[in-house]
Amino acid sequence: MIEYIGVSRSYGNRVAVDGLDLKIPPGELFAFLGPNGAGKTTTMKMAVGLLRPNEGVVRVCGHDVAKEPRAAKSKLSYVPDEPHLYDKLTGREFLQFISEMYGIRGTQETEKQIERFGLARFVDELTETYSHGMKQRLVFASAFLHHPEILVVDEPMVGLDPKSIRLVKDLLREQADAGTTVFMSTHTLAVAEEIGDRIGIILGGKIQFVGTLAALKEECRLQHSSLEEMFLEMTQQKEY
Amino acid sequence: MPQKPSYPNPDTRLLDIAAESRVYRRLQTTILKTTVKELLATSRLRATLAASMSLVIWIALFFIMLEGFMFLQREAGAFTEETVEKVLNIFYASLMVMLFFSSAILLYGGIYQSQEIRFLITTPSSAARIFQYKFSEAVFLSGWGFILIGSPMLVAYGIVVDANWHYYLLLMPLMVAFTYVPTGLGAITCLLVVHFLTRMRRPIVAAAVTAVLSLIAWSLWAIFFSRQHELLTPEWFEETMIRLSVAENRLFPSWWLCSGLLEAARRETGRLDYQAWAQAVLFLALLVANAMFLQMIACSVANKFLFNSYSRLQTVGRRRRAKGLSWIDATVSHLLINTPTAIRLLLIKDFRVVRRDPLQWAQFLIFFGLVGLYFLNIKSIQDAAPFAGWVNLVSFLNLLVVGLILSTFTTRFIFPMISLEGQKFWILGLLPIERETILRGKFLFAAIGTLIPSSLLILLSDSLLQLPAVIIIVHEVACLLLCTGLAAIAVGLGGCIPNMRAISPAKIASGFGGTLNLVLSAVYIILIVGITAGPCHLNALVKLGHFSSLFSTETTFYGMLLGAGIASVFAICVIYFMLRLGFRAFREMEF
Repeated sequence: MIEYIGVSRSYGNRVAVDGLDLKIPPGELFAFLGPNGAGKTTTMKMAVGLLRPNEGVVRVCGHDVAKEPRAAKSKLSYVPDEPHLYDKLTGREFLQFISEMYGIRGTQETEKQIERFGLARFVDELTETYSHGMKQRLVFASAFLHHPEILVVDEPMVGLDPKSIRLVKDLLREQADAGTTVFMSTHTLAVAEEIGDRIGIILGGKIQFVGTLAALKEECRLQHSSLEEMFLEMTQQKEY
Repeated sequence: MPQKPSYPNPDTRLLDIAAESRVYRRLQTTILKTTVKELLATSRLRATLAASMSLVIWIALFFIMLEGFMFLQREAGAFTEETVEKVLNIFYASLMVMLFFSSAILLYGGIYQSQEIRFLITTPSSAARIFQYKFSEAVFLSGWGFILIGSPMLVAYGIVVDANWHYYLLLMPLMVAFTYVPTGLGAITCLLVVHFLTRMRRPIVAAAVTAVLSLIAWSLWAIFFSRQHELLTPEWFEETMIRLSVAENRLFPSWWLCSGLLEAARRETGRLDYQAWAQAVLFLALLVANAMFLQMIACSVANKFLFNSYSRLQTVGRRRRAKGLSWIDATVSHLLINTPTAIRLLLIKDFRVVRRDPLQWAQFLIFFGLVGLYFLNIKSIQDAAPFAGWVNLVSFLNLLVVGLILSTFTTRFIFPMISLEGQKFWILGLLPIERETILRGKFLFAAIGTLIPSSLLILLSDSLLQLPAVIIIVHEVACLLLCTGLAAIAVGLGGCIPNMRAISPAKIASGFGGTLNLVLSAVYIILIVGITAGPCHLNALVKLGHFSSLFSTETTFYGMLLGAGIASVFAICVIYFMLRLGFRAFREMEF
């Protein structure tokens, strides 16, 4: 479970996240929406320990990320929008490094993820030679090595072809169904509509809506509209 | 791709310090092995060049130091040890300051500006382990330069004083232990400055660098200009040593290093002095203890502040740029008013990009600043040179130095510009301009940008050396040929062998193309300076009465003009050929 309790974060004088209260329970796929600069990535970075809140507490599986960073991070995996890979490591070496970092003994788990994500064809080549899709597969494989209780995914569909998008969508849904908390930010509203259990809309650092698609339709009084229409309606009304 | 997981969760656990350390060590070893293997397989030229250049520098420093110590032994006699102690203390105190700054800067870049740390922070690594991983990189990067510069002096000293093998045995441990002390201090300072003075970090670094440069300038001024005695006399030497005795402070780790080394080298009438040997080991223990203590403090500071300071730095408010042209861009635009619009716009764009990247111009500024300081002191050569012909020789060596600095600049900054532009070719490629215009803009940018500081430096050097006007003109012509030629080589080669995959200019510069650019530039500089310097030097010698039976001053004067003419024709051919090569390749390039 991820919990944000009264969380605020500013960049200089600009408030990026303002008094956020949010709880994402286990087994839920939470789709986080908002225009550019609304505070999505800042919110996610606070959950994975990259940023610390100015006010409030972020808890991951009950651990305060600021006070018990190691315990919190051992429970989660983060797939950023621009993931880092070591150019001079092969895919297998990278997976082994991550595996050892989480204290997993042996190579069995690495082999399983290689097979699961179909990496065998290129896993022994240096990652600097990988295409975007290959890199994304490797990053997902590394994220699943320790079977995280929480998966934080920032813009997972960017730059992927339709087949890979389908695969990522299935993968995230499967993980949520298996009990993992999936916290996903996306600009692809159709993806949020299709696989999200709940939707959160953030604007100017403040949460505008949290709930199911049906609840959103109720709130917007647009029963027959798409999420895109509702999102635009909501964000345009409160344009910052 | 993914199938539904049907296997149990793996056994995960938080690693203890030793296990974490092993994981990071394996990571470093694997990356190092792959890099070396790849370097040997694909960039043998670069690897050989780097190794041989390091060897040449080491040997050159060794012989200079050997000669220096032998001179001291001959001239200073009984005062040799005292003098050597002072020289070593000054040398290592300076290196200590450099190590402190270099490690702080390396760690700042390695921890707070790197993508890798952004990734590592999201893993369950401890802050201390992440810090140690980067700290060991900083120690390696600053340490190898320190050992390359510092070891020839110590080996030469050992030979001159006939030290026994124990001295050589202690050399490396003493140097390595010493490296950790200023590096540790630099690391602690870096962490604390970023944590507590996040917004003030740039002014603090600027103030510290200004303070150090002022101290260097003051020292040089005190040594060469406000001296009481004649230059290069024993009295002057003694006066200088007294002025610089601040380097012998017993609290300085450099003093512990020098004392350890001097004690290790001490012999008692050909036998090993056990008391001195014990003292040397004691100084080594002192250095090791301090190195470990500082590392322990640094790790505690990292554990306490690293994650928090990283967060603070990432969330510092961004500075908004003023709309329109700033005064500096407006001035450049005004100066270029007569150039075609497309080229003017490209030049202003490049100028803006370079101006806003202090990493680019700061290196150039430091190099030229140091050369400028050296030139300011050059008058002492004019006063003290026992042979007037040396003045002319020194003036051409100065031209050579400026040329070599220019070649590193064009290799590091101008050559990669074409590759970097190619990666964003959708911007310039879609503009209604010819492709050649882009390269012409780069050539003019490089040529004008390097000509202004270089010609001023050469003018400064020549004026202080009180050279005749005709020689100054020849030097300025040679400077013009060097700047335009080096710019053409960098732009031409950049167009011919671009590296479209690398994002970092440093990576592009250190590849095959960059190495070739450096080698060709060096050959070009030697030829231009050689062709212009030879006749000038002959002219100076004939004027001093040498070879007057073979040449008249008039003949050598025309020879001098002929030399400048040949150099100009050669430079024009190189510029034309290199630009043509680059233009053609760039025109036909597919992006």
